[in-house]
Amino acid sequence: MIKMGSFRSYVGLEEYEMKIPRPVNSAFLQPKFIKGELVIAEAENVLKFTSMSKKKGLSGSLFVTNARLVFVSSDRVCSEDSIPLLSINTLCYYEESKGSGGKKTKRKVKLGPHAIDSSAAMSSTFCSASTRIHELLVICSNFRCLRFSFKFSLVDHGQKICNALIHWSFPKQPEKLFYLDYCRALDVYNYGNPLPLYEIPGDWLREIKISRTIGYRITMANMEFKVCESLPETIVVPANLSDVRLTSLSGKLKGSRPPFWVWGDFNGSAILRMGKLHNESDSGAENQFFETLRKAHPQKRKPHIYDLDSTFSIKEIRQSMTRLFELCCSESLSNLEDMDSKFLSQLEITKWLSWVSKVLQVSQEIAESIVNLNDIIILQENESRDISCLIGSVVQVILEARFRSITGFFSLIQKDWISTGHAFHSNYMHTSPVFLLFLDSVYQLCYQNAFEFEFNEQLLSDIWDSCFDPTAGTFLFDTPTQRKHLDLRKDLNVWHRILSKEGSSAENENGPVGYRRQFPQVHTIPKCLVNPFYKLRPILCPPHSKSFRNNHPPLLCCSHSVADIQLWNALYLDRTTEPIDLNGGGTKLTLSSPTPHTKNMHNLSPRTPSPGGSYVGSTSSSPSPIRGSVFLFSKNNQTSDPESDSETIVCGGRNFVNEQKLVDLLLVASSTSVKHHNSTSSITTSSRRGDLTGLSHPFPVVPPRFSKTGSSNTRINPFLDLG
Amino acid sequence: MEFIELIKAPKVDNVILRRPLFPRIEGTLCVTGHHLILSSRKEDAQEFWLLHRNVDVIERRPSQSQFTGGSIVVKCKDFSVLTLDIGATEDFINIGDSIEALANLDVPGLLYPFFYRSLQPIVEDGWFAFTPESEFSKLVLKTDDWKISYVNKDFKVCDSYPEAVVIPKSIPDEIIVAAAGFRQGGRFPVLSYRHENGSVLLRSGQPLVGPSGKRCKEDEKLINAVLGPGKRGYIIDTRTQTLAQAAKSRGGGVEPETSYPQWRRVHKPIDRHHNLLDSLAKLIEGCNDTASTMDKWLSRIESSNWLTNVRDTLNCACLVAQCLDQDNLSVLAHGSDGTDTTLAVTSLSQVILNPDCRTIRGFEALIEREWIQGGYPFGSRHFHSVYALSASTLKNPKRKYAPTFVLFLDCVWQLFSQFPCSFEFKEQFLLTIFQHSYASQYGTFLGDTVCEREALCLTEKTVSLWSYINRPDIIHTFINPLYEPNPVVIWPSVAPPTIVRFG
Repeated sequence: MIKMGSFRSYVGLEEYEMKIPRPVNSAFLQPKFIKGELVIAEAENVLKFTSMSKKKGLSGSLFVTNARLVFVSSDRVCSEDSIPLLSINTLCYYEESKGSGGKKTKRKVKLGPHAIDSSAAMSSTFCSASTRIHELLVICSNFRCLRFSFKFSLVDHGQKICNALIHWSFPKQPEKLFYLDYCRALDVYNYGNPLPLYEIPGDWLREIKISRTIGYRITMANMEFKVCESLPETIVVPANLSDVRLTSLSGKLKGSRPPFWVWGDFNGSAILRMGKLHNESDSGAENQFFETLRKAHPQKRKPHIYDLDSTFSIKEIRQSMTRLFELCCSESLSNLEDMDSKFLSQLEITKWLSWVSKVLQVSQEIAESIVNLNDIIILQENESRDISCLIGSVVQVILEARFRSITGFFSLIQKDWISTGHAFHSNYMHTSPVFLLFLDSVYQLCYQNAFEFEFNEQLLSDIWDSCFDPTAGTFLFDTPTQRKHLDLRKDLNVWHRILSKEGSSAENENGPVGYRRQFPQVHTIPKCLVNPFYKLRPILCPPHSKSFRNNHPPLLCCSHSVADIQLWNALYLDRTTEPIDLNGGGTKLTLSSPTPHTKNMHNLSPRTPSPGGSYVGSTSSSPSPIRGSVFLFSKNNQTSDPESDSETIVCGGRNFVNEQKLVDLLLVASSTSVKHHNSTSSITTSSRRGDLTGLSHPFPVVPPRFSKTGSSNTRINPFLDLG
Repeated sequence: MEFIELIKAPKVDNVILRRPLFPRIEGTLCVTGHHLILSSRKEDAQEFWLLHRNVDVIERRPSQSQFTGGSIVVKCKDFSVLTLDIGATEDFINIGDSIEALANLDVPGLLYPFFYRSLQPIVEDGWFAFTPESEFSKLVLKTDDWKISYVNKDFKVCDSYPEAVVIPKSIPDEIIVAAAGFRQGGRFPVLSYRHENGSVLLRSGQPLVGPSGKRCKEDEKLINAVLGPGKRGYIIDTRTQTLAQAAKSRGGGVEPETSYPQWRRVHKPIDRHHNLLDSLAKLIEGCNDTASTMDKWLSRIESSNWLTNVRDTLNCACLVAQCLDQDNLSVLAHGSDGTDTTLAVTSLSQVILNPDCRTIRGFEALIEREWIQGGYPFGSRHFHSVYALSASTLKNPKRKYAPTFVLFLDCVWQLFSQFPCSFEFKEQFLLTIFQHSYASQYGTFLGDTVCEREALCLTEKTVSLWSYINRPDIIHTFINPLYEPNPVVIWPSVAPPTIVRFG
C-alpha cells in the first residue's frame, strides 16, 4: 500500500492513542535539587504532552518546589524538564461542562493573578474549590508552553499542584523569593565581580571618565536613600545643581525621582532621566532646573525634553505582549493550522512590531539630535523607571560601540535598568514587557547591523530567560533599596550565569538545572553567544575613518521602516515546540535558524559593473525597501518524530562551523593580504562606513543589506579574494 | 519602420530624474532607439540608462502649479518607479509618446539584443553551453530505458518543444506522434528529470479528453512504458479539480482512471496567469506604499496572497519530490498547457532533489532546459508586468502576461533562505536573472518557443546571458561564500512563518 500524504510542515505531530502510564516506584523519580530547594507538592503518573499533541506525551512525576516546577519522566532515563516558578505567566485548566446536546465542551479557565478580574477573586480562594483538575496548561513568560494531564494520577493531585503553583509562583513580597533561601544554603565562596554594578561611586566615576563627560558630578545626596528609594545611593547630576536644590526638586516629582545623568560626552550632549511633576502647574523649580542645564551646555542650548508618556503607553505594550503570548503559544496542532492562513494579520493585531518600530524611531531621532546638535536630552516619564530606561539604553546602543560588546551590554543593562530601579517583578508579575521590548529592539539592531555586535541573538534570549532565574539576584528585585537590604550575595548575578553557561544552548535553556555549579574564575565567553562576524569589523570599518561628525563615531544604522522589523522567531516561535531527536533523521541544526548574520553575509553585495558600460538597467529598488523578510524560519527542523517512518527529515544547510570557518579564512587572508587573482570565489562588500559618508542623511534610510541596489554612493571595497 | 519615426523628441534639456533611494539627477534626457538616457553633463557625469523594454507603463501627470510641462512616472518591469520632471509641455507630450511607443515595440528584430555587441571577448558561448544533447545525455547516461529522440525534427510534432526530447527507448516515433495529437499543444509526455533511484519526472500538456471522453491508446502506452509492469505512478495536476473538469468542455480534461489504471491523480492547485499577476501587483503596491504604517503593512502583504501562492507552489514541488525520492514513484506533472505552472513545479522539484541544480551552472542549465527549451513563452508572459495591470488601455487580449517565472525564482529564494549554505549562488544571481528575463541586452529570454528563437537566428545575432554570467570575472560575484556542496535532498518547510518576501 502506498502511503501518500501531502507534504506538511508540521511533522511528527500525529495523534496516537494515549498510553496509560506504567506505575513506577516514585522513589526513583526524584529531580536533582538545587541547594535550598524543598518539595511543596508532587503528583505521580502525570502525563506531559508533547508540544501541540492532544494525546501523546511522556509519563512521570511532577514536582512543585519552592523554586521550580519539575517534571521527571519515567519513560526516559534521567530526563528532567523544569521551569522556574518565576517564569510562569499564566496557568489554565480545562473545565469540562456538558453543553447542549450532551456534547462535552472544554472551557479554559485561567488561574492566578493574571486571570481576568471577575475570576480573580475566585482564583485566590481556589484552594477550597472542589473541581478535579484533569489537565493543566502552563504558559511561561519565556514563550514555553507545557501541558500536563492528571487523568491517571490520584484524584486530588492535580488540585494540589495547582494550589502550590498559585501560591508559590506569584510571591507578593520579595522576602518570599527562593533566592534568599538559596543564598543561605550556599557555601561561602567569593567569585569576584568583574562587572560594575553601579552601586558604588567608583562605577559612576569610571562611566564619566570613559565617556569624557564634562559638566556633571557625582553626588551622594541619596545616601541611605534619603532622596529616592528607587535610585542608587550614588547618582550623577549636573555640576551646577546643588544637592539642596536636587532634594527640593525631587520632592515635587513623581516617585520623588530627581533628574539624573545616564550618558554624556565631551561636546556637552547628555541623556538625563527624570520623573514628572506631581502638580503640572507648579513648574517653577523644574524650569529653573532646565535653565541650569542650559547654562551648563557649552553652546548654551536648551535641553530637549521628550515626554515619553505621550508616545508610549505601558498598558498597551503590556496588552500587546499578552496577545503575542497568545499568538505564539499554540496549544494544539489544529490551532496551529487554523492560525497558518492568517498568521500575518494576527501578528499585526498584536501590534508588538509597531511598538518595536516606534522604539527604534524615537531612539534614532534622539541619537541624531545628539550627534548633529549636541543636545541635552531629558527623558521624562511618570516615574522614569520604564520607558525612559528603554529609550535611554537603545539610544546608547546606537551611539556607542562599547555597549555593543558583551560586557558593555551587560553593564548597560546594569546601569540603565537595574541600578536605576526598573521594577522587573513586582509591577508586572515577573514579566516586564518593557524589558522584552528592549531586547527585541536590540535584536532588530543586531539584525540590521551584522558586524557591529559582539553577541548574537542567543545572548539576548538568554538574558530574557535569566529574568526568571531564581538563583541569581540581578533581576529579582525592584529597587536598589531592596537589593541592599535583601541581596545577600552580589556575586550570584545573571552575568556570571550567562557567561559560564556550558556547552550547547539547547541543553540549558530550560532553567537553572543545567547551569554549572562551579563557576570558573576566569570567564571565557561561550562561543554560542558570540557573533562570529564581529571580528570582521576592523576590516570592514577601519577605525580611523574620516566620516566622524563632530568627533562622534558614526551611528549604528537603524531602520524603523515597517518592512525591516522582524519577528524574533527564535524566541517567540521556536520555544513552543521542543526539539526531538530524530531516528536517522540527519543532524539537527546547531543553531535554530539561519541567523541574521548569515543572511547579511549573503547580502554583502557586489555591484556588478555594467557590461562594457553600455547598459545600466534600472537597478533601483522600489521606494520602500521591500525585501526585509518578515519571517525566516522553519519549524519542522525542530519538530519531528522518531516514529514517523515515511518522512525522514534531513536538515541540511548551514551550521555554525561554516560561519566560523569563513570568518577565520577572511581574517587570515586579510592579515597576510595575499590575493589570488585566478581564484573563482571572492567576497566583495560595500563598506558600511562608505555608505555613511556618501549619503547626505546620517542614516541611510535603507539598511546596508539593501545595497544591492548599487547606488552611485556605495563604495565598493573588494577587500580580498579567497583562494 | 525606423526608430526615428517613433522618437518625437530625441533630446530634452533640464529634465529632473527622481528615484527613491538615489539623489536626484538634473540634466539632458536623450531618447534613443533602445534607451532612455539621462546625463547630468558635468564632471563625473552621472548617467542613468534605462532600456525601453524595461518600461512597463508610464503615467503622465501634467503639472498643476505651473501650466507648462509635467512629470512622467515611469514604472518598470523590475518594480522600480522613477519620475521625470519636464518643463515644457510640448516636450512632455513628445517624450511620453515616444517612450510609450518604444516600450510597446513588438517587432522582435528591432529589439536591443539584436544591436548589442559584447565588448568583452566571449570566453564561452552561452548559446552552446547547455545544448539539449549534452544536458539530456546527463539524464539518460545511467540508464538504458531512455533515449534522445529527434521525432520533433523541424518542430513538426510540437512547436513548443525543442527538436531533441527524451522519451522511453521502447517507444517508436509513430506512437509519439499519435500521443502528441492527444495532448494540448502537442506537448506529449517527455522526461524532465530522472532521480538517482530511477524514478522519473515527466511533464506534458493536458490530455484532450474532451466532453465525449476520448482516449488514446498510444498515449497510454507511452506513459505506461515509463512505469514498467505492476508499478504505479502519480499524475499531478496543477489545477483544481473543478477547473480540470471544466476544461473538458473545451476539449481538455484529465486522464480518466479507467484508461490509466496504473496512475493515481492528485490535484495540487496553483493559481495561474491573471490571479498570479493580480496578487503580485497587490504585493508590489503594498511595498511601494511608503506611507503604510506597521498597522496595515502585514495584513496588506497577507491579503495580496502572493505568499500563499509561493507556499502552494513549494508545497506542490515538495509533493513531487516526495514521490520521487521517498516513495520511488514516477510522476507526470501537467496543468492545462503544460507551459507555466507545470514548469515551475518540475523545475522546483529538481532544485529540491538535485544538488547540481543548486550550483550556478546547474541552475543556468535548469532554466535553459526546463524554461527556455521547455517552451515557457517568455516573450508573451514578460511583455508586461504588474503595473500594466491597472492601465487597462495597454491590455492586449492576445497575450497572457503572468509572473510564473518570478514565482519560481521566489520559491528558489525561499529555499535559499532556508538552506543558505546549500546554494552556490547568492540572491544577487536570482535578481540578475529576474531583471534580464524582463529586459535585457542579451537574447536568452527572447521569443516564446525554441521554434521562434531559431527563426530569429538568436544564436548568431545576439549574445547569450550565460556568456556574460559565466565569464570568470562575473561569475565569482555571484558565488555564495557560505556554499558547501550538500549532496542530499533538501526538505524545505512550508509553514507560513517560513515564507518570506522576496523583492
